[in-house]
Amino acid sequence: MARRYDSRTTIFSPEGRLYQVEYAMGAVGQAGSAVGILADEGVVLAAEKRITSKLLDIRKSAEKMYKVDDHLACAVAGITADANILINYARLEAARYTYAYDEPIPIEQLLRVVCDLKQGYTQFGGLRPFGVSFLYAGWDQHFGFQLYQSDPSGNYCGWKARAIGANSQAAQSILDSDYKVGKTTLQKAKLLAIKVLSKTMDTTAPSAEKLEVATVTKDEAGNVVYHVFTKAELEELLEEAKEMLAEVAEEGADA
Amino acid sequence: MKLKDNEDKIYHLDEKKVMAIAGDTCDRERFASFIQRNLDWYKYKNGYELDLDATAEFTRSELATAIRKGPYNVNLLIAGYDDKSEKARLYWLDYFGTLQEVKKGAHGYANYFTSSVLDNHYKADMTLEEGKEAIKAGVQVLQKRFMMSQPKFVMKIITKDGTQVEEI
Repeated sequence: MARRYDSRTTIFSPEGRLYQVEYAMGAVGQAGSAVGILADEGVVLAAEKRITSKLLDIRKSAEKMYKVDDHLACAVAGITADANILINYARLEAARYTYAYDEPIPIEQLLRVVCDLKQGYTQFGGLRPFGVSFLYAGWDQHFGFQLYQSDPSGNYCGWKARAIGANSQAAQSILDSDYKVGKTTLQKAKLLAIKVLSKTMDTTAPSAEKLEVATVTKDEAGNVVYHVFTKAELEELLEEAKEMLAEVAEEGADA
Repeated sequence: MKLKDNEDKIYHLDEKKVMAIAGDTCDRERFASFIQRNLDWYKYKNGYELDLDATAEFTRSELATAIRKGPYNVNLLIAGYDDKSEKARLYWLDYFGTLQEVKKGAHGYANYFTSSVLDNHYKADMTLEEGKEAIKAGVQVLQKRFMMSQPKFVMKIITKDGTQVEEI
């Protein structure tokens, strides 16, 4: 009976639901997970790559992480092609703001314009919504380091730690129990992100080829730096996390 | 020749930002209002004010866009106190879309008469009182040498505590 109200995005069902938006969120739930954690000195973004092959030319394209402006980056969960359109729009809006005001766009303002676009596709035009959720990480002069999540409906929220994509509910409950407000250093955040991904990923052990990790921090000069981990850095991080991951595997075996 | 002496051309943009604007009356009022309303809109949309240098840049960019379409025949000085860096700043803009941060400035006929006076009075790390004396010296030169009778000048002082209005 729900089927009758599926075909057009722009109508409600009798119970007041927008099925196309819900189905879009379902598409996101099928995608590789992404985790964002706000630390004292920056933000960590980590994601599971679904497309792994040694034939991939990784120098040229990223699957999950994108830079929007010098002070702002995002992680994607959902239909990559849809994500590309929105990221391009986000980059354009960030540049337009800097053109008008000669300063970097405050993070929430950028969120609002992207989310207003997403919302439009749920209300008019007769086109399907974007099947993407984002985790935006960045720094601005008003609120410092920030982490936001946006979903296909065009809603957004600021978070201290958030997971999207496959198994995001399980991931979110781990974050809930392990994240310590005001006491999470960047190092702790990185390890926590690895822990969460290792529990949500399909395979038993996370490896450098299957992960994308990035941080948004500030260097000594005070410039915001977006850094995507190289394969070597990922392997180093996994090495640091080995003990913790062994514990996690044990817990998993016991449970 | 005696003209209107109670027209306040220094518009308040925010609590600690003012814009002194000179030129054709219609353009002056329209442009000042346009900038004021845009800044208000920004404030209500985002929950915080646009900061001082971004305000100057925004104003400049509107003038620069307008010059090749329908220019605003106005020249302005934007002055304010920037809370974040705890500094007062002054910007000189003209109707082309020129923007320059300056230590002292003037537009119109005043520029010809007061440039040298302000130059003589200016020194780095001036106090507020010294600044007021410099402005008063400039006003006195105008009242003595310029053909128009301008007995009343309005003066606005922006500090970390806000904006005060005085008459010279």
